Parts: sequence; C-alpha cells; structure tokens
Amino acid sequence: MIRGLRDAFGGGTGGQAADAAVGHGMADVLAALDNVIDDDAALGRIYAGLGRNVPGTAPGMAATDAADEASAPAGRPEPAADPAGAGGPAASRRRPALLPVAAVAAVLTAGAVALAAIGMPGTHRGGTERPAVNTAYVVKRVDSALDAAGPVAIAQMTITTSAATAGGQTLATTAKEWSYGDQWRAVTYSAAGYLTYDEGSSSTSVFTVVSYQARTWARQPRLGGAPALAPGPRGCQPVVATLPLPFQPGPPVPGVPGSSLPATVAKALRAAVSCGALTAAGRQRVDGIDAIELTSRQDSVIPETIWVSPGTYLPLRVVIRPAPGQPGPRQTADITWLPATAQNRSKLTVPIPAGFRQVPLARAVRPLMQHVPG
Amino acid sequence: MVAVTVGPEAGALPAGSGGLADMEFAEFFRAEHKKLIRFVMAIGAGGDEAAEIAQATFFKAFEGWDVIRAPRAWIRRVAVNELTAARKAARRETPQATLPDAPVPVSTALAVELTEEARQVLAALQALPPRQRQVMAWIIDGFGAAEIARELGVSPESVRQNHAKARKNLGRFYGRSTKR
Repeated sequence: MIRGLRDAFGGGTGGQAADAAVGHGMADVLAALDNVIDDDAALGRIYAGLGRNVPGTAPGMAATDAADEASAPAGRPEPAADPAGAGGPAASRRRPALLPVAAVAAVLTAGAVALAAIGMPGTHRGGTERPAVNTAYVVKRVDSALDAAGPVAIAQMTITTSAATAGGQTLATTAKEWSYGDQWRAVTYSAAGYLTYDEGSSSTSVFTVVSYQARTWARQPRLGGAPALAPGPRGCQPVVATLPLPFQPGPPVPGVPGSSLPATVAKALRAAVSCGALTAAGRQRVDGIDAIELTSRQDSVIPETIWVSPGTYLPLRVVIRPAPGQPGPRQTADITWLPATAQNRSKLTVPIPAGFRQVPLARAVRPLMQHVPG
Repeated sequence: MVAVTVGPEAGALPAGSGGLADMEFAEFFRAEHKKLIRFVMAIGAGGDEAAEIAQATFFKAFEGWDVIRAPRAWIRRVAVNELTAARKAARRETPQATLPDAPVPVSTALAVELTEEARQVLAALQALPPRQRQVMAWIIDGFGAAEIARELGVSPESVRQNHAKARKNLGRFYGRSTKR
C-alpha cells in the first residue's frame, strides 16, 4: 500500500513517513475488521432481504425449487468465524478438519456400504414420487453416529434465523455455537454482522457472558442440572421442541433450574431422530456433499429437515420452519463436527476482552434477555 | 442466543437464483465488504455507522449489479452519498429518550481489536479537512489520481494538490504525536 501511495502521486520524501504510518495503520484497521465482521453473515442478510439464496461455492449445487432448503441464505456451512480471539479471520476461511472417520468407527463399519445396500437414489422431489428410502436403516445409522460422536466431537454450528419484519422485509441474524458434553458457547452477531454477545458454560459449571455492547462481562456458577433430553417418549417431538436450548442458549433464568444448559447437540438431535418423527426423503447436495435428507412428517406441528452425511451419518444441516400459515422465524443450523482436540476445545472458552468491566450477572444479561422470544 | 424479530411467516425463500452474476457478486462482496467499511471509516464514520453504510451500499449494488461497470469505484461513490444522506437525516431527527432498537455495537467490538497505530491513523484522518480526507480514503484503497478526479468531479491536479496537503498535514500530525 505504501508503494501504491507513492506510485500514484510521485512520492517525495517529505510525506513518506505519513504514507508509511497511514499504510500500516489502515492495514491494522482492516485486520481488526477481519476479527469482528462476518462477511458471509452480512452477505446472507443481503440475499435474505431480497428473498434470494447465497450462491453456493460447491460445484453441482442444486438450484432446483427444492434446493432452497439446502442453500438457504445462511448459505454455506463454512466453519464459523472464530470470534473474539477464538482463531481469527484466517481460521474463518478454513474448513476445519471433519471428525476423523475412525472416531465414529462403530457407526461406519456398516455405514460405508449402506448406500449401495439400500440403493439410495439421487435427489428426487415430486410429491408422491418420492424415492423409497429405508428410513429405519438411515435413522438407526444417524442415531448410532450421534451416540458415538457425542463424547468425542464438538458440534460447531452456524445458526441463521430469518424472520419477516412488520415492514415485510426479511431480517436475518446469525449466531455461532459450539457444544461438547455439558459445555457450550454461543456468539451472537447483530443484524449488521457485528459481535454483540459471547456467552458460554464451562466444564467447571461456570456461566460466563460478555456484552460487547456494554463492554461488560459477568460470571457465576450455573443454575440447576442439565435437562434430560434422552431419547424416549418426550423426545418424540419436532426438533425445535427437543432442541430449544442448543438453538437458543441463553443466560440463566432465575427460578428455572437448568434453563441455561443446553444438552449436547448430538444428544438432542439423537432424541429427535430416534423417536421416528423423520422420514428419509432422498439425497440433496449440501455444501458439495450428496447428503441424505430426513424430513418431518407432513402432520408435524413444526416442519423440519435434517441433512446427514452419507459417510458419517452425522447431521450437516438442520432447517426448522414455521408451520404453514403460522408466523415464526425460520432457523438454519449448519453443523460441523470437530474432533475434541485441545485446539478445538478452546473454542468453548469465552474470552474476556481487556478493558471490559465485570458486573453482576443480572445486569450483564438484561439487554440480552430482552431479545429472548416469548 | 439468536435475536429474532418475529413477524408474519418468513416463508420459504424462492429457489436459488444461481447464475454467474450471483457468484460474481458474492465473490466481489467477500473481497470488498471490509475494505468498504474501512473506506467509510476513513472518510469520517464510526465503525457501526460504516458497517450500516456498507450494508446499504451493497444492497444497492446487488440490485443494480447487472448494470454496474466499475463496481469498486461505484460502491465507494454510493457509500459516500449514503453517508452524506445519513448525516443529513441524523441532523433532522429529534433525539429520543430511549434508543429505538438494540444499537449495533461495532465500535465497541472494533475498539477491542484496533491497534494503537490503527487508532492513530483514524484520528489523523479525522483531523484532515473533508476533501483531503476523501482523497486519502480513495488513495488508500489503491485508486489513481485520474480515477479519483473522475469520481469526485474535480481535476486530477486538484486531487494531487489535496493529496500533497494531506500528506503535509498527516506529517505534522505524526510529528506532534511522536513529540508527545
């Protein structure tokens, strides 16, 4: 840049120090923006505002009427940007290593040949002409994969929530979440793509929230125990009902034990999948992967679709929509399963920025609570 | 935590628009989004305001993508206009007792990330007269005198003069700050 400044205007020694200072300083501004701006989230909001899809980057991405689910505005299940010191801009453009196949070996033993065995057809949507897919087999494999992944993998999710405003425009917001065991972390971005809140619960049962809006932070032991989301009768509900917490983690709510503790995403997804509420509907490309599509039954209160990897049977994307004719936001969660290495586990830590002031929890979460739907 | 404004049913989005133009726009956005925010900050906006201006500008760019011939210059020209309009609108607005909605706290988030050198250069640019600041913002983004002149509607010579004055002023600013 400095050379560019000189080249453009002939330079001269008098202003060279200024050129150098401006060059370095503005490069630093760009680097700082890299750390707080999520380009893809901002791009998704532009497309969502016009009711269009962010074009995928994977070759062969379906652009049919059915592809709206798989290529929703949040678009690309690229790894979440690592905000607030969790990795930086470069990391946000890298695809993190997927869970090693060996980590879910028990699942894959049979899974590798599953598709050939059941003759899974390609994407095909046509009302009653949906391909016959062995739902029970797929669900079993997904259930096993989630069971195996739970203790060894970190679920990293980028969640985009789209909702129509009173003015008729579509507002899309983004959050990024990591879930592992009883640890979780959620980073919330404003409509313009800026970091607003960073919150999480550590392995030592401490809830931490940082408000970038108020430059404050708070920390306290978490309340109550983990909610029971094991498969069973109460798991046979739409994913949105069994997954309220992973999709909407929040601060502790006084008087509601465990309300701040999402179960692991793997556990909650497993509960929803294993109860038989989903039907295998065929194949669809999700970020370049020819994923297996599982949809909720037509009589489901809240329609949902889950795409799982044909290799690992782990969910890659979940879309939850309001029931036809009903108001409500639409949520898209793009999921990447990360091995629980020390480096990846560090994503579960909420960093406290220098200069931020510690305040009582109630004060720190007050603005945040105002955004909790309902 | 996902902040949601719940309204009427969002409904399923239309089919993927796809197409080369969309791919081009997305690529352009990813390459220029942060640079545009920086450009708007260089001409005098705070971080949050710059982000909003950039968002509005790219929204317009998206709508007119098919007919925009020099998009890098176009978005900067439109961003300047957007900032000018926003400033005028802000002057007309009556201050409210409570903020209408959650503010975008980019300045706070950005403040955490900015280095001392970055803060200084932004402060130095703010101290320049508007025209010099504008010329510097274009130069920082790699535009030449002829292009800047075309965009600002002045002669290339005027651009050179403003740049020379800006460098002089910046030199004084840095001279002062290093003597402190």
